[in-house]
Amino acid sequence: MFATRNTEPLASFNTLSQIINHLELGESTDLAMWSNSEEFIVRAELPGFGSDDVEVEVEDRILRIRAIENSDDSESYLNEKSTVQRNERRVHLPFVVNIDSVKAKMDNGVLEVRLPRVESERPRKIEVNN
Amino acid sequence: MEKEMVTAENKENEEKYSEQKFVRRVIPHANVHPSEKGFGIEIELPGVSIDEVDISMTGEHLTVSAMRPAVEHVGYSGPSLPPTKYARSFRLRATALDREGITAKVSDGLLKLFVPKAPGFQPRKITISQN
Repeated sequence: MFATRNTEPLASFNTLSQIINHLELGESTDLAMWSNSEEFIVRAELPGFGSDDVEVEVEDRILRIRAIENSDDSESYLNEKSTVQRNERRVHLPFVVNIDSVKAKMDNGVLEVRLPRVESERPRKIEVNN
Repeated sequence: MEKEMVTAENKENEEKYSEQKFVRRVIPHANVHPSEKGFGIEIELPGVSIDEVDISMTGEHLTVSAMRPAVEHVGYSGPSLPPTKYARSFRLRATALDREGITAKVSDGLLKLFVPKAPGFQPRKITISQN
């Protein structure tokens, strides 16, 4: 019934913010996102950091994750520490979220943030009449 | 008769391979820093709990391996992160390092090892005697 085109490279993205997120992150797995009509989930890998060392902020449709690192200027023979820990990560949210209901937790160096969509904007079924 | 044998074999293969799950193999990031008393090695194992870390020594090689389970959110669109095996080896030159004295600690997905220098290799002052 609905014709499908096989030549749409951006077909898997529903919103501009998803495209932006994908371009910024490439194929790395240290930041992953899931969404459905009710909630957006963000998973960030921050090994060595606990809940006290991380700041999570939501402003409008941007989620900011900041890891506070004690600077360690000692000499290193090998330093492959993930650069993600030194920067702020920003994630574009696909919809407006209810900031009061956002939950964030850390376990084994992995941060998981759950952002519920604002009630009034959740998709609603529309009855089809004859 | 031969056709029957072939179909039986296919079915066996199908069962065997459908049970095998894809496990992603990753070499974890490491940070090595020297100190007077030895070497500190930090290995990033995000999402791994202490029970899943295995550290072993075979001869001069120290091997760290850990399994991180799959991450999935059913009912959401997004990636399915496969179970991941982190593994990395280091060669510790036996004479200079005290392999028996290696300590390890895991917290927040970060493994910290300390490999002390062997007693004869610790820094020491040599006194000069006058004649």
